Amino acid sequence: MKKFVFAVVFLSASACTALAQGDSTISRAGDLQIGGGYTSANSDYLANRIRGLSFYSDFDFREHIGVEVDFHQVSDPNPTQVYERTYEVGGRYLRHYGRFTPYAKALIGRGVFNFYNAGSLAYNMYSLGGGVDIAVHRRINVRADYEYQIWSSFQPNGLTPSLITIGAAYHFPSGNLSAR
Amino acid sequence: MNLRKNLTAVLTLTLLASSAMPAMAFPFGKKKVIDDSSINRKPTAAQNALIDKAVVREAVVIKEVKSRVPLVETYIQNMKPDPVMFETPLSDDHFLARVDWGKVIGEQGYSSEKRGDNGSDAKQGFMSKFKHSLDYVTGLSKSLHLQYNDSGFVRMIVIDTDGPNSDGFNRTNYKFAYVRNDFLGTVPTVVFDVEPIKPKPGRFIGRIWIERNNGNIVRYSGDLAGEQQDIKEYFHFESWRTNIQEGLWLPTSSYIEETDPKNPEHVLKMKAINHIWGYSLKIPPAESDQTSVEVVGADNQSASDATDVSPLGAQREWIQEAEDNVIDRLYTAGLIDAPSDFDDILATLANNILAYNQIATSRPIKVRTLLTEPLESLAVGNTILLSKSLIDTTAVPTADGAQQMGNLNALLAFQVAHIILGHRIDTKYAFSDRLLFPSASAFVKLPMHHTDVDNVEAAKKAMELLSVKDLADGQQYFSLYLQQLKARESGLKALTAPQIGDSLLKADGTFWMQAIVAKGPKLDNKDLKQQGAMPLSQYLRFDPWTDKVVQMKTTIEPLLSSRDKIPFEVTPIYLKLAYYQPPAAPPAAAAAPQAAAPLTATPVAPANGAPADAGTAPAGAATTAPAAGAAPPQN
Repeated sequence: MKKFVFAVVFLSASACTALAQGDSTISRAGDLQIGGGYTSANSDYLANRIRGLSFYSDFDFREHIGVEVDFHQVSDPNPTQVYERTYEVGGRYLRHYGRFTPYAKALIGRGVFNFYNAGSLAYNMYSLGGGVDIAVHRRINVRADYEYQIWSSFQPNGLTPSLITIGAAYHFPSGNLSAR
Repeated sequence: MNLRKNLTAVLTLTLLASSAMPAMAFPFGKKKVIDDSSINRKPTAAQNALIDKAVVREAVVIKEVKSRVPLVETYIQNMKPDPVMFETPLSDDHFLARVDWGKVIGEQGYSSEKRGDNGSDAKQGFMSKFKHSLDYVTGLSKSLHLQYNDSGFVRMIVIDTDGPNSDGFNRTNYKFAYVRNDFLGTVPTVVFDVEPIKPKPGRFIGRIWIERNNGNIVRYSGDLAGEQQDIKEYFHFESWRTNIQEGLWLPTSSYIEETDPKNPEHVLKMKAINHIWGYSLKIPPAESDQTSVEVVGADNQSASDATDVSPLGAQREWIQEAEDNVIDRLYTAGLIDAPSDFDDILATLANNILAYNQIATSRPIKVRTLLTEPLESLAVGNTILLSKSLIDTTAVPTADGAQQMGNLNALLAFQVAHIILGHRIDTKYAFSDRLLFPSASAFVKLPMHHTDVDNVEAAKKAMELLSVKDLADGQQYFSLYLQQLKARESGLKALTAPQIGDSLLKADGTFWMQAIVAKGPKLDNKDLKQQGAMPLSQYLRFDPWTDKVVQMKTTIEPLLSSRDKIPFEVTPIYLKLAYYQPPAAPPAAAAAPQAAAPLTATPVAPANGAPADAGTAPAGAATTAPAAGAAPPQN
């Protein structure tokens, strides 16, 4: 699985260099959105669902390929102080269907787990996921996102939280055509 | 949590998304579809031989362009719907560059001088640094907006650059289908549809016209493969080549157009034009620069017995030296035309303005044409430069030619006024080392614009010059021209921004010669009898090898509706191609039957002592019958 994630990230990077070939009539660096949302997660640790906030940003430098940065913080609503916090970066593959942009993503990053009365530990982690961005306005996208995280070094048998996020993002529009 | 269960969910989601994808969507974006019926028309053996010739000739074209580094000018208009005129320019852009072949085709842009509102250089210092920081942030944000790529337009001068020698057009990369035989002007061609064998980004998809005798590709239209919606797009284009030297067909112009897919009335999103010239930039012989204007009445110097030069004479010689240096440098930079018969006609008009006003000068006025699109004029000493687009857009065809004449007189009067008022060139250019700079820096190194104070003074003087009996009637036409320009000015910022000389407009959007606006009727776009200005490329074409401008011989197209008025707009290119013919010897040319020139000018007696013949018309003008037969290279 780890090999697969790295392969996706590598493919994303190599696609970027291929862009140099052929001079297009118009172009831009890419499509950027920055947003945040509400996340509900199955922590794979507590019996109840935990909730929190997410922030995300996507930069799609090709029509179907982009990079994504995610931050999630989901905490137990009960006074256990347990929370899961992740910082992730990776690639995503997307398609455009009118207002809808479904995507699949593969991310790697660092996760921090705060135990009940035992401090916190950080782990390497990676995740797979997907969702859909919906353009409700040319500057606003809303999103539904599912993410399956794998904290393989979490003792004793690893941790596999799954998160569902509903969010909204500011989308930088392609604008009117102008001179470079 | 069950790992297998969750992985299954992720994979299902991914598969659902990918199942909706069309084949070949990854990694090169949309594949452009070609009509299969045409691809099935396989070329015959003779046609295949012609295609093989075309492949070889295309490599020759690329080699020639590489070695000659011509200029490419791109002018773009972004369009919007208009209830009366169908569509009007919303905004515009302009690039001027020399073709620069590196790994792939590119461009080396001519940088423009940055001026403040009053025409002075932009101020330096703290504010400038702050502005630069702000520019950086703005630039970062701008990079997320779709922007035109200069090199993307320059790229259109050849079919395919993706090969070992930048020549990707060959049988390995493309398949061909015969369409028909066709004549373009007097050149017989065979037409083929072309499609890349593998849809690689930058490969050409479209139609080519191959000249039947030698296999040169003379026209091609289509698009390039590998578009990525909203990230990196190619626009449709049509490119033309002309036979500018024996056996040599080189790129001359391209027309680019995209329709707005969201507009139900099919209004264009944008249209643009590429002009290519300057294949052989050599300073023309001095004789050709002198002969024509000497006729007007400046021949008394050589006839003099004087062996010495007076102090004033020496000063004038010094100024003349600077002027000649600047004109030569502008020519080698590819910015002005080689002296031509048409320039002589304009010179006669300019000198007539002096004659009608009884103004004597020791040196006759010369006129040359700036080959670039922006509407501007300037005076380098006694040489007036009018941009090609100024001449094109003012060339309103009328039965008596009075409207065009009136417009030209007004344009020339403004710069004649500068000359009369002594707004002369900086004599530092008499030192030739001052002109040793890359051609691309010409706009920065040779700022020839006048100050606002000078322009106000010149505009006032120009109105005086135009108020004499013989010229006063023409003012109404220039009034219409300026009104038409004003109506479109907001969408023509690049076209109205001068690069080296004087704009028609002040910084506040009014005209330097605003007083003339009141002299004409009110502009009414719905009135088909009234036409204020013409489209770009209306009147002049130029030979991209010699850089001489030539008056086009066209028919008058009647206006059927207000939508036929396309003032200041880019229009499609259609050339009547012809094989190269070496310049005819002068006696033979005189004997050959010739069509009347659309614009002629008769010199009026100079005003140096002898009274001018006020009753003589300054210029007889007449529109001509359509030109027929072979024509020199066109642009």
